Amino acid sequence: MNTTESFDALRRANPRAQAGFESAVEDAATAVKAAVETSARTTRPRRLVGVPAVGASLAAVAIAAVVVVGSLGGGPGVESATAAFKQAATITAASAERSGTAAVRIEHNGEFWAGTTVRWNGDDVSIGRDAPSRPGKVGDEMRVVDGVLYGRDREGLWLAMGSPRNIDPGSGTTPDEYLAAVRADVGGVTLQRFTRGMSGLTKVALDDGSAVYRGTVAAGLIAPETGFKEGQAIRVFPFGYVAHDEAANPQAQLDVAVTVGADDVVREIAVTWGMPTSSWVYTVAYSGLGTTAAPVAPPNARDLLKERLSFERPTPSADYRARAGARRPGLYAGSQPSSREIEAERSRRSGSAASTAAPSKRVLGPWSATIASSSPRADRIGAAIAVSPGSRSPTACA
Amino acid sequence: MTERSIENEQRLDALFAEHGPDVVAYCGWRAASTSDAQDAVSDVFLTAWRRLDDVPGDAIAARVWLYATARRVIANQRRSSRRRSALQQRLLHEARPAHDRLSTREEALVHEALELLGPRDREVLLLSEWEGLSAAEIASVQGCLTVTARGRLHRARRRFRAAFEDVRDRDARGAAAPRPGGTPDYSLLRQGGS
Repeated sequence: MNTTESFDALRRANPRAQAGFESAVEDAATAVKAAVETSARTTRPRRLVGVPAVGASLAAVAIAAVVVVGSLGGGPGVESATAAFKQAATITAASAERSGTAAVRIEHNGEFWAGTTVRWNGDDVSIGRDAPSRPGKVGDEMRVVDGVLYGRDREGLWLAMGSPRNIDPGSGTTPDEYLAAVRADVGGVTLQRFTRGMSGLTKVALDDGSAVYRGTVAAGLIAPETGFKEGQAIRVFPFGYVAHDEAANPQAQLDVAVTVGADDVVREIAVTWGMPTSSWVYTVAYSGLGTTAAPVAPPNARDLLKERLSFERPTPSADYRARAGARRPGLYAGSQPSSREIEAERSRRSGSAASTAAPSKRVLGPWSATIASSSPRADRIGAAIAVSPGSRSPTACA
Repeated sequence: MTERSIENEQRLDALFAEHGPDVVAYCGWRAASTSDAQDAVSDVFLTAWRRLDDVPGDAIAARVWLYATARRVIANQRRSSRRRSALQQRLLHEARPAHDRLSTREEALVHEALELLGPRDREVLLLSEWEGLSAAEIASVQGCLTVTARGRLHRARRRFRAAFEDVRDRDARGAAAPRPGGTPDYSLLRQGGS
């Protein structure tokens, strides 16, 4: 084969020649327009949208007379509904940029199964969890205020846990990462996925000026992340909840209702699926977008670092150590290898193994200094060695 | 809307009309997944929008500027998504087209050969062969000397040729080809799949 042949093949494989590339460029143009529009909105001074309480909107949904604007068959009504829905997603993203509250709730067969409430304002965030089916998790809360992470201990008392930057940045659990994921879920790619993937869109106008957009969205767009847990593939909803039953099938069409307020901001997303015997309702209610106050540092939080530094290991008395050491040799020789380890080392090595295997002269553990009974002349070995401790234990000191 | 903002919008529109397909294509084969690619394209032009004064007026220089920006955007994406390494692995596999999505067997072999190259070799080779950049332009995108880019390109070409011959010979002998990769499935991108 000559060089031209291989490179001709490479050039023919250029993705520009793939089917769908032109459409992808068109979609990218739309996405860029939306991103620029969002950017322009967020850079306007204090043009943030307040949202009334979610409960009020739900009540309005229940009692309002409805008018169906769109239809399943498509046409101008659906096109305008789609455009309005996309606009709502864009405005919501802009409003959620600075602050907001998202209340996530999952119901199974009509009963509360799990929930999370996230409040954010700038880089400060509070994440409260409520999972009645998981003992010990109810009321869990984490806050990040002014760069300090707060959490609760087992008794429910607040602990100041230091800078969130001390958390392993690769763990996916840092507040920064969580906050980024929340913003994406609230106003970013998650809503965009919904708007792109919703089919059979209908719009129901409510008396209070809000509207409910209904349609179906593939489960794979709602819960796109796949991982493995106990050998089984899992898909994860926004805010981290694992999709169950039908929702775990990415092809399944799930019923989605998005409530948009009169101010064009998304108030609630509700996803329902499942058979009558195992029905699930997943809702995310947005409130206070742009108006949520920053979380405050918990009062009387104990400083975890100070507590750890002030913690002193109780040191047994010399008399107790002597008696205990006589009963159980090696009890206080924590840093010394066990006889089994010594034997293993001896079998693998020679030379230094003999010295390693030699019994320790210490009976009271590494904390007692071993003073050399004789030493070479200082003028031959230097002062540094002359003042070194007799013990080679890294934990010992002279 | 002010006159200046209208001018800016017109300039961004012109920028996208001229270079949008290039950035979409570049992000398509560089990003870890189709959704990442779409996000990256948005981020690149959002950056251009915010820094329009920094975007060179010359078309060729503007194109290189956009490639370099896309490169940094994707690097940032990878850093931020490193935490989801398991997920990213899945996305990498999802981003890879299955055999039946590729139009020809030859295309599958090309992707298989590309997969055998290191990331740097692959990038410099595709910047040249798919994006049509010169060595000097590749150097601007990668932030290195032209002579360095030329050397990298030379080595990448040599390695690709060897890799392609290898996979083609293996294919001729009937060995099962491993799953190819390297480019996104644009039908998935259109659907917003991730």
